[in-house]
Amino acid sequence: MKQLFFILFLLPFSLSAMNKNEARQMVDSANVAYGNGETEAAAAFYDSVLHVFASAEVHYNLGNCYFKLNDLPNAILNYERAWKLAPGDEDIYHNLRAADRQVVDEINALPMVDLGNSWRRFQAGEDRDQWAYLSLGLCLVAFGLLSFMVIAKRAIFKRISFILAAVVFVFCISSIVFATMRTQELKEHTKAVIFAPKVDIRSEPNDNSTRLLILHEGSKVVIEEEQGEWIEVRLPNGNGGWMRAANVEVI
Amino acid sequence: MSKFFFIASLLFFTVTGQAQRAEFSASVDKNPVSVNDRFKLTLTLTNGRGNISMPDLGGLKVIQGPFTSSNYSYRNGVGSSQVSHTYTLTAPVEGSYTIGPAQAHIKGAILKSKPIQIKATKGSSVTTQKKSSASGGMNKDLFVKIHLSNRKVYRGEQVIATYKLYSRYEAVELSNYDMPVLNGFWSEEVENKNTGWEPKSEMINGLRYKVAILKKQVLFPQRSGELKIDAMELECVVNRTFFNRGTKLKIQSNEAKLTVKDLPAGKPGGFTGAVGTLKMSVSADKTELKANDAVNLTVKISGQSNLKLIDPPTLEIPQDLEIYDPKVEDRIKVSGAGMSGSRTFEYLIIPRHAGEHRIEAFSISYFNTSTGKYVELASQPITLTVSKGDGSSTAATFNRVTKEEVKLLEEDIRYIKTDTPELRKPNSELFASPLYIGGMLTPALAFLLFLFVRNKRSEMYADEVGMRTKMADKVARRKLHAAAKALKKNDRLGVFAKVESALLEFLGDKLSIAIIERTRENIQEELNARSVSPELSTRTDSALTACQMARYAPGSDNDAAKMYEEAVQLIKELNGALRS
Repeated sequence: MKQLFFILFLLPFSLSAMNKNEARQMVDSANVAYGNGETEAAAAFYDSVLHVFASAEVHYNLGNCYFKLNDLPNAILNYERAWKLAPGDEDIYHNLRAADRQVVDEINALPMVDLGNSWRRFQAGEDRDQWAYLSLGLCLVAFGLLSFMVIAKRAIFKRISFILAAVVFVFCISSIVFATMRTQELKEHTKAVIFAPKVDIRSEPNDNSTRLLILHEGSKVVIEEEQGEWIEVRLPNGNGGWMRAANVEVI
Repeated sequence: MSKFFFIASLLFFTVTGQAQRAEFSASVDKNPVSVNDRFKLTLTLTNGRGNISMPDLGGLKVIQGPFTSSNYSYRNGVGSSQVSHTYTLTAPVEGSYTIGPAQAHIKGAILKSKPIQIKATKGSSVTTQKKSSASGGMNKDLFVKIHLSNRKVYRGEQVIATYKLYSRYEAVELSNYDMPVLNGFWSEEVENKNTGWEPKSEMINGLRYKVAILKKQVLFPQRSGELKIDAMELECVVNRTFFNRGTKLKIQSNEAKLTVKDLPAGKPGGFTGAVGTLKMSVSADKTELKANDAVNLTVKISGQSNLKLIDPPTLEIPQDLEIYDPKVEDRIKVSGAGMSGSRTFEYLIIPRHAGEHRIEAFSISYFNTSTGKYVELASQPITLTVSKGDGSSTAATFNRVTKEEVKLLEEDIRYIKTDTPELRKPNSELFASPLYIGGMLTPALAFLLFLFVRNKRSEMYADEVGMRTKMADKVARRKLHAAAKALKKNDRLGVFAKVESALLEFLGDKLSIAIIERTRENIQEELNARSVSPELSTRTDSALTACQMARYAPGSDNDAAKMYEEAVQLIKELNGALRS
């Protein structure tokens, strides 16, 4: 009850600008609410934080709330968003899989391999900007080494610093590549979760065309094309068709 | 099928009492009989000696007899005797007659035979008999009966089924037979040692039949309700002899029915379906032992029941004890009395650690058919006192621990993340932002700037040296000009001083020698190093020497004008030599 009052009091406030400290406080109180079993209150808190900030942890926690409230599509959406922000995280992976198992549609797709997680984790980095920072640092070091090479009087020092500079440059370039991949991944909004309990996938973007498939809430699709109210989607197993855009939520 | 193929004619033996008890019986060779037909009444006293008195014939007439025959035999160490009185009788009119009990007086006792009902009919009884045999129905002379030991049983209680062949023919040859299919029973065959005629004949309706047991089975009904054993069919040939092809007969047995009651409710835990009477004994071969020594725990379940269906009891064994699957030993006898014997489970238990280990009590249950109640047989808990084994044995034995995977009881999602979250505005990645590009460009630009500045500086430095050499000519010329002025003033010392200074300055600049190092020796060295001709360097040296002599030794007479000329000449030549 107290929590509910809290929300009513805080919600309008939270919709206006919220700074990080306020957001952290909100997340903390949401965590307490979740622990006390007041799942709906916790969900509202997390949701308001996510209006302003993007955070893997908060998405994950919100996903848990929805899972407990039996709102499967929302749970999957939030887990997927959390996974996007922090790929390779064990907890997210576990809960996403648990949620995926509850989905009615069984789509034979390549499974997310457990083994791949550590690579995903490495590739994603601890922080969203890890590779950007690393590339900056390596760039600085490389140029420092080059400068040293120029200054150095003895040939051996010149040679060593040149080789080192070359190596550091290679690392720098690979971290730039990683950073590019990561940024693209984050900016990509092609995956979507079906929210409607049942969706017809049709061969053409109109209601009179042949019905190819029926999907249920929680299934994930990849958006290929958009045309007005309609989107062309593809399933992980290669099947696809057209459906109304209102039935999905982009991850 | 041929297993049961036996030729009764080979088993032509007279009926003898195997037991030494006296028996007395009466039999007729035909029943029913037709009016005025002759038939025989035989009174047989086995293993006894005494007077046989004529029974009340109830209206039957004696035509002949009595004929007395006696028979003694000694077989397998057992002697037996038989005395029989045979009367030939006839029934004067149609109707039923009763032959009353005959009496035999033997030592202090009177044996009575059973009364016999005789039916007398009109016409030939022989023909009716033939008819019935041809139709394959019940034949009075040869038939099969299925006997059940009990007709009302509990589910799982054992019933003994006996398939008996009754015959009045001397020679019976079984050619083909079908054993009935058993539905709803679990059966166990009783081994039949005697495949011939039973030693004792049976009297049915006053007729004496030879009996052979075709088969004996112990049956355990598996479901409740009415269960039926279908009729057994067999074909046999009777009276086949060397001269006679015999008669083929097809006979069918009765259908045996039994009522199976379901076991009452309230089955105790550990009840696995054993029905009958059971006993259990549990023993361990030792209770005090060393770690890694083996102990044998024996559970013996004995009694009369479907023992083969008894499962090993589950023992609650502490973790520290290693237990192997039990060795099962059966001593089960299936006989005419049913299935009985014992089943023994032998568990090998090895304690791996010292201490007191308690094997909890366990129990098995069965349904007692005689009391109609469930009985639970419980064991006593056994305590094993294990002392530390000697080190060697521990080391020698491979410490095998049966590992068990931790089972996931139920799947649930993981708990929320409670650590302080990393909060970021969406789409605020550093990469490709202006800040990032700036950060990337800064070191590159700084490096380029550094290179540029350094280049400029080294260029300037290089220029300074160049300028000096370039300017050396001018400086020398200026100094020489001053020397020319001094010459005009006739200042002899001044001329030499200017000339020397001009030469030193010129050479120092040209050869890049610092001022303090501008000695004659150094100059000489540098000149040689730059491959100036020895003649020119000697002249330079002598010119410098001359100047010094003129300045510091007043007595010298060197000509100032000439010196000046020489210096001008030298600078000119050196300039040429050092340029190349």
